[in-house]
Formats: sequence, C-alpha cells, structure tokens
Amino acid sequence: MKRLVLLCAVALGCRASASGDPADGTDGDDAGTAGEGGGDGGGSDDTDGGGEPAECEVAEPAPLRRLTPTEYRNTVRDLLGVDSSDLVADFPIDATVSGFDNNAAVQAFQLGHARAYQSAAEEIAERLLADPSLRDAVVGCTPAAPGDACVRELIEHLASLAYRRPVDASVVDALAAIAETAPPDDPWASVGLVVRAVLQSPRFLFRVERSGGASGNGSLQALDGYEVATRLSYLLWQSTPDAWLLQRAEDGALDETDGVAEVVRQMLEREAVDEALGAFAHGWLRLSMLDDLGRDPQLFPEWTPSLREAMRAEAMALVRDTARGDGLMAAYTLPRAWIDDELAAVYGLPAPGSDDPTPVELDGTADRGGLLTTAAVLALTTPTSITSPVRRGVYVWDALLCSPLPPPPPGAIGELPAPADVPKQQALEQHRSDPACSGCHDLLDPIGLGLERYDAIGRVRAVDEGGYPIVQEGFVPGLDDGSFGGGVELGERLRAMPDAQRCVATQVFRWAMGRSETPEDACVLDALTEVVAQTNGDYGEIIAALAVSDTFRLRP
Amino acid sequence: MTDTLNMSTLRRRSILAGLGSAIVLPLFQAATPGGRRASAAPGDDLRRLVIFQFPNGCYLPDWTPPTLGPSWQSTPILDAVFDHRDEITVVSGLSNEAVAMSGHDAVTNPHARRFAPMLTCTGVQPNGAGSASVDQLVAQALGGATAFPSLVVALTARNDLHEGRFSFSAPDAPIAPTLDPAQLFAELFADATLDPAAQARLVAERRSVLDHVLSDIESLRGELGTVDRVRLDAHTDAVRALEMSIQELGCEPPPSPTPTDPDDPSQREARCHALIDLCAMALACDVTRVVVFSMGATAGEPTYPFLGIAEGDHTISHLPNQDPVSREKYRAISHWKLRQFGHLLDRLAIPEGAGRVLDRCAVVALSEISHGGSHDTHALPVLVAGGLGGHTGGSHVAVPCDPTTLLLPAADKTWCMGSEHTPLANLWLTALGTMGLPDESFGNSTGVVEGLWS
Repeated sequence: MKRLVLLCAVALGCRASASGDPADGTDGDDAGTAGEGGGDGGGSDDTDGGGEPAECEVAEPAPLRRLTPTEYRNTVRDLLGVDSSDLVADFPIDATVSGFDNNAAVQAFQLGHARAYQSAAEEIAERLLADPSLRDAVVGCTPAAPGDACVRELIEHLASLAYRRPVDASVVDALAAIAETAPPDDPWASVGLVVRAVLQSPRFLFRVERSGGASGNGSLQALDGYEVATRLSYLLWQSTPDAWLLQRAEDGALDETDGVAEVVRQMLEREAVDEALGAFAHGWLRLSMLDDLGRDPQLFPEWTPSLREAMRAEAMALVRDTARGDGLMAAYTLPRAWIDDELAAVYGLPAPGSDDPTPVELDGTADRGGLLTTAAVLALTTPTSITSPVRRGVYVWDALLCSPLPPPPPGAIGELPAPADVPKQQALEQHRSDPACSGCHDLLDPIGLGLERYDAIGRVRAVDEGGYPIVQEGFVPGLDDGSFGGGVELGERLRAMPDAQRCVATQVFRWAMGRSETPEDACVLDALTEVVAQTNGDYGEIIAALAVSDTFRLRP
Repeated sequence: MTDTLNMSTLRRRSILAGLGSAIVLPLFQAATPGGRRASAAPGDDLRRLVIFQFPNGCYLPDWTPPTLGPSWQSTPILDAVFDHRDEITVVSGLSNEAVAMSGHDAVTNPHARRFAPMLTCTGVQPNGAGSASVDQLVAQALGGATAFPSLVVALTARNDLHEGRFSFSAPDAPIAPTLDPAQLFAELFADATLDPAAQARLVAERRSVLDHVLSDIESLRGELGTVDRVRLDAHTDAVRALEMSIQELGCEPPPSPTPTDPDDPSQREARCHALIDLCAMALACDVTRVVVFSMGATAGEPTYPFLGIAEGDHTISHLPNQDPVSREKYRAISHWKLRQFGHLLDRLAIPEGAGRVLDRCAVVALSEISHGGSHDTHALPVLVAGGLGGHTGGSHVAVPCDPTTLLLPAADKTWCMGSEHTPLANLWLTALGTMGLPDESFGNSTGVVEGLWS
C-alpha cells in the first residue's frame, strides 16, 4: 500500500503568503541579504545608470583571495605559455557557496593545496624547460651559470608579472639566492627553481592587496592601480593582468573612476571574457548540479555524459550570448538554443550535424525558448528520473529570485507516493492542506507544476511519469498576472519581476566580489539593480558600475 | 640528511625486494615495519582513527538488531558485515538532531543542515561548519607523525559547501575529498617510485624552495592586515606540514590501481575497493593515521543498475517505507554500502607486529541521517569496530534515547529507552579520548559513551 505521509510538525512559516507580495520582507538569504529587493522595481527616472560611481561609502572587508584552479591554469598559460590543465584537475576542488566556486570565505589553504601547488610547479617548470620555444620566449637569454645576469633578468621580469606589481629588490634577491643553489653545471636548473619558487609564493597564489587593513584604524583606503588591475583581470579574464593592463596601472589610469570605466570597456572586448562568462553562468545557474545526475537507463537511454555536457554548454552559451547582447534579463526569454545532435533530439529539433553547440532560432518552437526551457535547468532540478515540482520551485526561488525559503520544519516528512498511484498535483495539494507545510509549498509548488510539461531531461511531454495528463498551468505567487503555462511564459513572468532583476545584480556581485553579499551591501546592490533595470542586464554595464563603486575600489 | 634518506630508501627496498607482487597482503606484511619509520611506527602507542560514512541513512528496522546485549542478531542490512560480528559493536540511539536544527537558517537544504555537522556536531554556518571536525582535531594533534595528517577520501562527492563537505580543518576551511584512485595513489606513493638519487635531489630542492616560500610569506606578512594574516598563516602551516612530510617519501608503492570510470555504475564497486585498499595501505604503511572515507555526499543520486535498481540513492531514501518494494530497494542499497565497510575491515586485518592493523584503529561507521524521508538525525545508524582502546565487538548497545521522537512503530524501537537523546558528539568526545586527546567537551556533547573504549 502506498500512501502519502504528511507530518509537518511546526511551521516556520514562509515570509510571503500565496496572495502576498513575495518581495515583501524578503530576507533569510545566504548571508542575510538586505532583502529590499523590489520596491516599485521598474527603473525610476532619477538615476544616471551605469558608469556613475555608487557612493555607498561602505566597503566590507575583502578576504584575501586565492587563485581558483581555473585562474591558476589561465595565469600559468599567460605567464609561461605552459598548459597545466591536467595538473589543476588534481587540485583540491573548491567548495561552492550559492553555486559559485570562487567564494574567498571558504578558500582553504591546507596541506593538500601546498602539495598540489608543489607538484604542479615542478611539472610546469619541467614542461617549460623541455620546450625550447617556450623557454626562449620566457627567458630570452641563455644562462651560463646559476643565478647569473641572465637569470636575474628573468627574475625581475617574471616576478613583477607573476606578482602583478613591481617587485622590491629584496624579492628579486631572494629568488636569485634560490637560483644559485642549482648545480653549477646545470644553469637551466636555476631557471626551473625560480619558476617553482614563484609558483608557490603567496604573492602568486593569493591576490595580495596591501592597501587597507594594515593601517588597522578601520578607515577606508583606495586600492592602488595594480590591485584594481588584478581585481578586474581575474573578474573579466579569469587570468593575470597582462603587460598592457599593468601599464595602465603604472600610468595611473586606474586611480580614477573615469579611467577604470574606460579600462573596463576595453577589457570587455577581449575573447577571454567569454570563458569568464561561462564560469559566471556555471555559478549563477548552479550547473555543477548536473555533475552527478543519474537517470534510469530504461526510461532515458539517451542520457549520456556527452548529453549532460551539451546541456551545460548550452546554458553557458545562453548566458554568454545575452550578457553582452540583449542583456542578461533576455536570457529568460531568448528564443535561441545551442544544440548538438544529441540535444537536438531531446528538443525535437533537426540535428545540426555537429557535436558542438550550434545556435538555432526557436521562434515558433512550442514550449522552447529561454532559460526555463533549457534542458540544463530542467534536468539539474530533477535529481532522478521523476520530475519534482518542488525542486524546480526551490530552484527558481534560490537561483533566480535570490530568496531561498526556510528549511523544512523538524519532523517534516518528504515521502511522496509513486506517481502512478496518485497524480503529482493531487499529492502536492494534499501536502499543502497541512498549514505547517503550505506556508512554503504554496510558494514552491505552483511554479514547479507549471513546468511539468518537461520531463527529467527537459523533453516536452504530454503525460507525466504516472501516465496522467500534464498539469498545464502554473503561477508565480504574488504577481497580479502570475499564471503561466510552460517555461517560455514563466520566463516572461520572471523577467519582469524586480526581484529577478535584483537577483541578477546579486549573482554578478557574488561572482565579482568572491563573497556573499551582506546587509551593508544593500546600497551597491541597489545601484547595480538599477543598472539591470535600465540596461536589461547588460553585463558590461553592471561590471562597469560595480568597478567604479566604493565597494570595489576601497578596502577597510 | 640526504644520506639518511638514501640509506633508509635502500633499506626499505632491500626489505621489500622480490615482493613486487600484485597481491596486497604480502606487501603489507613486509612494508609495515619497514624503513625509517620502524622506530616511531608501530610502537605501542600508535593510534588510528577511521571513519566510514554512507549517505542518506537506512530504514532502521532493517538495520537494528531486535535485542540488546552480546552476540547481536543479524538483520537485513547488518547481514552485510555479519562475518565481522565479533569485531563490531552496534551502537543505537545517538542523535545529531539538536545540532541539525541549530544550524543557520541561511542554509535551507535539509540534507545540508545535517551533513556538514556530522563530524563537527555544531550547526552549519553560511560559510562552513561551526567548528573543525573531529577527524581534523585528531589530525592536527598527531601533526607531523605521518606524511599525511589525514586522508579524506570519497567515492562520489558534491562540491556544495554544505551538501558536499564533511571534514573541516577550521570552521571555514572545508577539505575537498580525493575522489580518484589514481590521484590518491599518486599522492601517496608516486615519489617512492623515483630512484634514490633523483629522490635525494628532489628532496633537497624542495627544501630550499619551501624555505624560500616560508620566508616569502613572512616578509609579506608584515605588509598585510590582520584578517589577511590569518589566511597567510594557513599557508605557512600548510607549507610547514609539507616540509615536515618531505622525508616521508612513502613506503614501497603498491601496484597502481586499475583505472575505473566514475560514470559507469558497473565499475563503482571496483572503484570503491581501489580507494579503500589505498586507504588501508596508507594506514598500514603509517603514511597516515586518520582516514575519513565517504561513500558519497548526502542527497546524492547514484543509481544502482548492478542491483537492478533504477532510482537514485537519495530518491530511494525518500520512498515510503511502508511499501514493500520501496523498502526492499532501500534495504538493498544499504546492504551494498555496508558491504563496502566489510571490505574495509577485511583490508585492515593486515598483520602488524603480533596483531593486525585493525587492532590499533578506532573505527566508526555511520550515516549522517537515520530516516531518509524526514531527514531525521535521531538514532543514527552507528557501528564501532577496531581494537584500539580495548574495544571488543559483538554486542548491540543502546545509549539513552527518547522513543517519542522516533518515527518508528513501537515494536521497532524497544531498544530506545529514556527521556532524552544522547548526542552523537558524545561518541566523538569519547573517540578523542581514545586517540589520546581527552577533552572536556566536543560540539554539543554532554559526556562520554561508556563501555566502548577503555
């Protein structure tokens, strides 16, 4: 006998009733977000939009940030020309916070890191020295003895690039000293030792910011140009500042907000921004939830690791395309898909004849277009082979509205009957009939139910797992006109919501700052939200507004 | 120093010459007392902590022996380790629910609120756990006794801070588990495959590079604010630990593990065994004394086609237990997970001195939750094994336990007696004492668990 077990002991209560405004009194976000997300929302006329410094006069302590594995790999590539992809694959995997893997608060430095950096540095030095063309490009002279003038020249050049600022003589001397420990008959070995020492230095592994902090008096200090360059470079390129950018720092171009804005615009032209945007998308949309998904092979024979990767690639492409095109808010509704042959089959579209994500226009394709119809989002919100309206609702509140609902009360039992026994909609209704559960589930379930027409891999279907006809209608609680059918319409509803706009601003903020927002960040988030509202979420404009803000440029 | 290393390397090699067998056991027998470690290792005071976690709980009536006392009776799940009955104490009634509920509200996922605190017994925080975990407290105290203060290994994992991390060296310092047998093998044993001359040169170079790094950190330290200095100190500690471990280029390496595909469920058991074997070897070779082995992150959804089960692990844990088909599935995957624990015990039965490696281990197996459907952490499934601290197995014991909160039929919880739950923290506090680290409290502990370890 299968039955629905209901036992929600205590209602913690969700902040908004089904008829209320979900924006009201939002809080309880990851780091206690100041949840004034909303207000009247639609761009007020009295702001100037992106580019103007947000004068918030507040800067939270910026934790010392360690290079992520991706940043490490790109930095080594740009400094030395060495591919270390296989090496960083063995680095300890950074934990994600709200989907982002670059949150400095949890960037541990443990024995495992020291060990990984040591062996990577050894291997990178070996690869560099083993390839004469790479070696000559980096060294530019031929050392005759360990630590000779040639090696010293290399040290001065490499250290300032690797440490992202001019280096003191003492730093050069210390590296020269280690170079001199190489065997006399092996001068190239001294180059290897220098490279190994540089790659294990805290000045390389951490994004050191010397401004602020040391004074200890709590006052705000501006970052120097090199520090701003480093923040921008890792934000926009996920790599080290190049010679051009360091030169801009030296010229003082990054000491004033106008200069920063201009440099940001130039940096946005680079191709490297695309890869960084993919990483932003990965965090925002929590695409790592795709990693360990399993599917019943009987029900989903098409589920393969390559299909999973095609889903991931499409979601990243969608964000990339809109971030610098129609704006991130357009991602909710953009009628374009990026499909390979496998994903085309899931979408019921003609195969593009390619294993690479190929853009196709979706105008007129039923129930397809925008973020909420991507196979990635529909699959990653389905832990197993049976879709869960609750999970999909949770995802919308967490990732797209930045307003996670409270945890289930103690004793809440989440046992659902088999979908063949009780239609899902009915089971959920029964669940919500308990007032202890309805507070939150009134907000969650209607969203997920409106997405029931997509199965566990994002395919459009007519009947659910139990063989019952699909519930066609869902609604977004709190909206006057919140009803929708399917992901295209849900995207349209969300796109217009002030909370969704604020959430996009918040997600960019988390990614850019490498930390969760705090109540003190409400001011800068207000400003960024305004930019989102005015530009439809133009990534460059959001970044430019953030980069000139006190939050970005000052340190306590 | 170089000479010492060469000597010891050669000595080890001569001891092990001719034992390049693919079979694990003879290698262990020879390797254990081998090399430079002989003086320090396996002395009478060698203590090891081994923690084995399996995700998503189990259905307790299928786990718990019906009666308390010696010679516990087999159950549908414990059948998986019944061969080891005399090694194992079944401990019923430990609870981590108070801790789970005390977590920060910002962490909303019910699994996450219970997984991260499993080894800390403090409520989760937005940026981590409430404290360092018990395994890391031990690892930090044993410090440089071994090349690896601890091994944190998982068969599958997630990267989410709260749903995917269970070992914390500090409240905001989660440890990423090692997932790949080949990588674990390389970390533990790769350096030992170098010839002695190359090894000696590598050691000397590493020393000078790390010395440089340490002084570099020190010179930078003065330029930074206090918050950043704390971060830099972690870097210093890690580099110092690395420097101390530099002499320990491992024992004679075992054969490298056969590659397995993590995406292929049919290879999961082989992969699990490869990881467990390496952990056991690391213990036997005294490369580490603390191992945490996770069968998977909470709420993970690996499927079990090799058991004829198509649903994911976590989904199965949420199926109604009243339904016989669902219950059988939950039972089957729990049985499989526990069989892997049996494999670990098999591997730890390596001879050491007059006894076995297992004799100097405190071993705890547990899940982060008891009841899947409610994410309940009352009356967690817990087993204790290993001979450290005079532990002997075979019995089913219960700690004070409040039956009114257990969502079980009355007949299935007769062992649960009392009016209050005993915190899981009491077990970890007791384990700390057994490891030679007695303390006043750990997490929300209220005392020690009597009768397990002396």
